[in-house]
Amino acid sequence: MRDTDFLKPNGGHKRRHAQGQPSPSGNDDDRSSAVDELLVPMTTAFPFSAIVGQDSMKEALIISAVEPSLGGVLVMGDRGTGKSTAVRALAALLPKIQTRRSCQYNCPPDQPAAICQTCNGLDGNPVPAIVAQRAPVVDLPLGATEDRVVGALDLEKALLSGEKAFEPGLLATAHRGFLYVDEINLLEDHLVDLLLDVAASGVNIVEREGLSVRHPARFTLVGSGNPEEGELRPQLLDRFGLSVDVASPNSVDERMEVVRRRDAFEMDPDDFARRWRAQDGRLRSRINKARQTISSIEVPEETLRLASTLCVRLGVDGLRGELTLVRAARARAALDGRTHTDIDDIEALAVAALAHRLRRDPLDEAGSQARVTRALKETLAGDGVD
Amino acid sequence: MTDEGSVSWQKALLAARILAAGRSAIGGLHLRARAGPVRDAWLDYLKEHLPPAAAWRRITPNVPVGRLIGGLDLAKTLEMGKPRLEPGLLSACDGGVLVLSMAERSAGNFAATIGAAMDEGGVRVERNGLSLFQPTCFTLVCLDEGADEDEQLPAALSDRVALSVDLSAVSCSDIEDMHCSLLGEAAPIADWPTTKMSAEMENALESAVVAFGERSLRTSIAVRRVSRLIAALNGSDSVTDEHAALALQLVCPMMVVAPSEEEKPVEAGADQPQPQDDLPPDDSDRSEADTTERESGEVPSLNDILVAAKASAAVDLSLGDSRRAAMNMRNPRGSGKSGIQIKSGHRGRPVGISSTPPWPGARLNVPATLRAAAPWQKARQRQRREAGRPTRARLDLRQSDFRYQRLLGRTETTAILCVDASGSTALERLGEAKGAAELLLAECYVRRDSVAVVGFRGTGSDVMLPPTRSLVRAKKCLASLVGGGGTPLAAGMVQALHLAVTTARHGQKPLVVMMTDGSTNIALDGTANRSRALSDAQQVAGEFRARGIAAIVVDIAFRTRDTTKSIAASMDADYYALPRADAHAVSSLVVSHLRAS
Repeated sequence: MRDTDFLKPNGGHKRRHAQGQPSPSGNDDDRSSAVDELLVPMTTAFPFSAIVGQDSMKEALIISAVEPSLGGVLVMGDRGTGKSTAVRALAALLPKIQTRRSCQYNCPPDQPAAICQTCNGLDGNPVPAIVAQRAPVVDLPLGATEDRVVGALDLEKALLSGEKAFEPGLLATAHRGFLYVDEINLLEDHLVDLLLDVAASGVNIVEREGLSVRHPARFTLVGSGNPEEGELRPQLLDRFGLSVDVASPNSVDERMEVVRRRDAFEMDPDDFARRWRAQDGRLRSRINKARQTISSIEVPEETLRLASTLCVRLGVDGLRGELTLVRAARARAALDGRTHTDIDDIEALAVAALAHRLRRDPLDEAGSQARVTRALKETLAGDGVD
Repeated sequence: MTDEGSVSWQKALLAARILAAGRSAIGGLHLRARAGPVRDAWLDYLKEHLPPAAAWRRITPNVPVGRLIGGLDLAKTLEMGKPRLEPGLLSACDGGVLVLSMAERSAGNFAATIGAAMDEGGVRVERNGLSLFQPTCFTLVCLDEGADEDEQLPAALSDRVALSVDLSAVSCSDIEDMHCSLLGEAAPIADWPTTKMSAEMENALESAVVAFGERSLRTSIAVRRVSRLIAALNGSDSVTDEHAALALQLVCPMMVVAPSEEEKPVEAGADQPQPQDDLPPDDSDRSEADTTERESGEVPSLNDILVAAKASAAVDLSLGDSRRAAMNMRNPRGSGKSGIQIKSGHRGRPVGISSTPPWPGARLNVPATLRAAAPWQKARQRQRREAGRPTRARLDLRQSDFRYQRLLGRTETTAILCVDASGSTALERLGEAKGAAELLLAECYVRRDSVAVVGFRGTGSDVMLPPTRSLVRAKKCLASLVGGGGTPLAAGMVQALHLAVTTARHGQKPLVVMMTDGSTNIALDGTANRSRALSDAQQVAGEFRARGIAAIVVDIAFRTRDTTKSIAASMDADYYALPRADAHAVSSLVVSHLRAS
């Protein structure tokens, strides 16, 4: 059987390759060591553009790739709708980030984290070269233990040399990238608590086992789950910028297309990925271009006013809803290649940006999405916008 | 009926062969059967058709999730002075079969962990300082002994296993025939995925899946794969109608095998919304399909199945969500809320560690203790040398290093609302009960409490909402509420009691909320007898007290009666008079009780 004796990766950084891959363009040249190869799941990810339908989910994910400060995406819906497939597929579309080779904290080369031994040259080795690699998509599995999430004492170093060294966890690995939690409503409460603080502050503070460590951990949180497994805590819900619902397609033709592509993919993943490479590439360059232009996208007065009127009408607390809506609208405009946002953008994104922020009224049959749609219609028809 | 028995045994054998040929490509198999020789014979048959070297591991759902995934191998780690992985059960099953017995007792995150490994073809280990991806590819066989409606395989697993087999009709005499007559002798071919399937066939299969109300796309994928496997096992290079029909039955048997049982009750409830002229052709279609099935004693043809599918689709369309709600009632457990029965906080799932024992005799967390001790080893050795004491060979542990596992016992409660749904005010009351249930769910997410609704009317009672934590599910199930008829108070109390006992068995703490005006006119046996009805109710109330089930009685009568109070007293329940029981009042009452308890 398989030899399980190889162990162990150097904390987080090798995981990144397992996540950031596979790059169909083949220009991630820094995957070399034999250990790496063993650790990388030898599977090709399903191409993002080959996902049939589910437009709102795809749009939300792309927007969050363009605008990481949105706060991430929550995808809830039926089983077997390709929620996790889409998130993993997104990994191949993310823009590259600059960092140093074998840096465990994904430090930007010009401002390394104080704790990073590699980038500050504190480990006795010369500071390694700058590399551009795809932003990581890190999986947080349900069975993860606290020490691997926040980071902990490096047991190997401690046992061998008695050295008290910090081994960064998943939160460090996800810095400047995505942190993905599948079945997020089943995540244990003590892990949710850890996430809540870091997701809000962007800094991971570890006080355990005699260690006192802090390092930046700014990531886009992506969660998915099935609403029938239970509700999400409202505090966690609030950390997500956009929230989309997915449902299984009902039309026979659409379902058949999904199933056919899945079969074709599993028959020959590489060939399938090759056939979709051009489309994925186009999408990737669209995202890259949008990231460059987003800062220059103008937000006209009427868009702003519509967004704030809508939030007032819905009674959304605080500014986060409004801010998210406008930011998402800018990302959407940038993706479309426009120079300014439109009423259209707000219309398209209002439900995803606001519905999960409403105070829940369980007695309201229609649910919060319908409330947002209704408020949008009223605002557009009424005196909200001139 | 041995005839039925041998037919389902033959199907079970076929399923075993398909599973042995398809393995992880079709996920696995859901086997509904009681423990016994029949189940053992089937498992042996499956084993026979697997490669001899294939791993075969049997586990139960009370295996900790950590063991599924794997973690630090302490003995080796200490010996080598380097972290070593102890592979989990999921990777130990690589290339083989994982038999999950009592699968219906799986908890949500247990099921989700297995599901994730099946989806990704490997286990993500992020535990005890280890971080890696261990590829593993196993076939899952879920042994389901679920007796009650509320004990079912978690959807996270049932969605991922393609085949479903029910052995409950098979008797010991049936299993003497160990030859699968549904298959030719052709050896399975490895390139079954390339078996040809016509576009019409694809379309027909997909239409059937959609018409049967299957929403998950995994079902669609499974039906296609199983059809191809059957064709390949029969030595055919293209899928025929027969193959497809068999596949449909093995993948969605509930829908296909017994349309008469599954559809009729729904239809009966749906009389009003359905246009009258729709019924006759509908019925004749189905009885036709039924008779062909029964007469031949063989599997129905694809055509019959499609006819049945279309018929059920017609019902589906006219009914909208209520059929789905009814289907959900049959599959009430979204997340596995069964699991370990825990009365004290001394047991439960691990949540973090602490340096002081949470209770005397708490379990030591060895990896955490080692971590705590490791950095001090050099200093301590030096200290010992300086103090002239003998130095220890490896590890110098002090009491301050000890780290204990903190456990979270399930202290969850289930509020069971038992509602009088009889008479003229029924709808209003039901509406309030429904509102209260939803409000409770909305307020209870932090405490992780569940809510159930029992209604009584006519001559009996129903569980209208099985215990759930999900607002979404509650809305679906409560969408189609009915009221009216006599007042069988005792029957409602029995149902609530039954549910409360089941809940307690699942390790949760039940709280029964009776919403009644104290009137009752139907006795337990269904006869209209006012005095018997009352004495029955008193008797059941005594049962509540005897079993120590916590309860509150909400009197919703405009003029309170003494009977209500006396029933409350017999139940040992708190009594509240809320003549205009509105949803908010009831829910805040329940919440205050939950807090107090």
